[in-house]
Amino acid sequence: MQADEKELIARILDGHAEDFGYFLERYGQEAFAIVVRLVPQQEDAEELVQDAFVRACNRLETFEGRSSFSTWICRIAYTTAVSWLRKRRMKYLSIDDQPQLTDAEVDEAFDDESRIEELRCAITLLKPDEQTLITLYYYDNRPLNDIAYILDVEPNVLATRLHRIRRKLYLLIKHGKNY
Amino acid sequence: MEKTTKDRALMQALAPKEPRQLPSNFPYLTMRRIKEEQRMEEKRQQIFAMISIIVVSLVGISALLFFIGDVLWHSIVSIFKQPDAFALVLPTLFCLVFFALANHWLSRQYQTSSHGEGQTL
Repeated sequence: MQADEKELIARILDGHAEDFGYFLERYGQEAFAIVVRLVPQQEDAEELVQDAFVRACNRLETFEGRSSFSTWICRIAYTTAVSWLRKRRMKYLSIDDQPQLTDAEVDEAFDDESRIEELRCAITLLKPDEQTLITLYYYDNRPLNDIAYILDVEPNVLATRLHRIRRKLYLLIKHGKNY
Repeated sequence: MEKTTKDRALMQALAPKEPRQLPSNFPYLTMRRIKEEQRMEEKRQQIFAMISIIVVSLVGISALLFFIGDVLWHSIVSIFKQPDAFALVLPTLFCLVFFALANHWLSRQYQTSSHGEGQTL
């Protein structure tokens, strides 16, 4: 975390709440990018990001600086979106792995650019934590430690999860929703 | 897990179809909500403090009445029986009312000025 951000946090905690605007300007879009993937409606996503920032502001004294502020706010935004989805009781597919499936088959499918649309549909069927994990890892290129912090899991389980998600995506594009 | 350079389709599928942005007034609206919530929280705390004061005062008065109620009553009655005593009681009552009003006015003045300073949004 930057030194001036630490100073800003100290000022906010000292009663200068208006300084929180800096964090909204700087990290709002980043948090929104995580939420909007899980919550497709723009208005709902905006409201959830707002909720996340309000919560962050109210609990700013709990921010210990162990992660960057960006990772911290992304974690709050993610948990806010997941609890919202839980309340809505959204249904996601859960698929039993197929041991006979080889990694080569999966790799080949993910390299086939004619399957982009199928992949897009398959991604929407993944659970929120799975969607967030593959997005943060493959698209945002975030370090595994940051991803583990955002998703509140141990970093050493991420490799296994990514592997499982790849297989699940493959099964979804191969057999469709009805798998 | 090693990132492969092969996952081209997956990368493209993960890219948003059209970039979605937060509205430009998002920081303003969020700051407004934060301020509003802080004001509500302050109000809640004030109400809680007031209720606590009332409860503690009632408990205190009840305890006084329970333990020394008779003595107090006899003292008051004896004061009113002596006309000279009014020379002391009336100015004291007047002072009490005056200080209560002054306290109320000053706290209102203080609240108005502190809200004025806080309105930077």
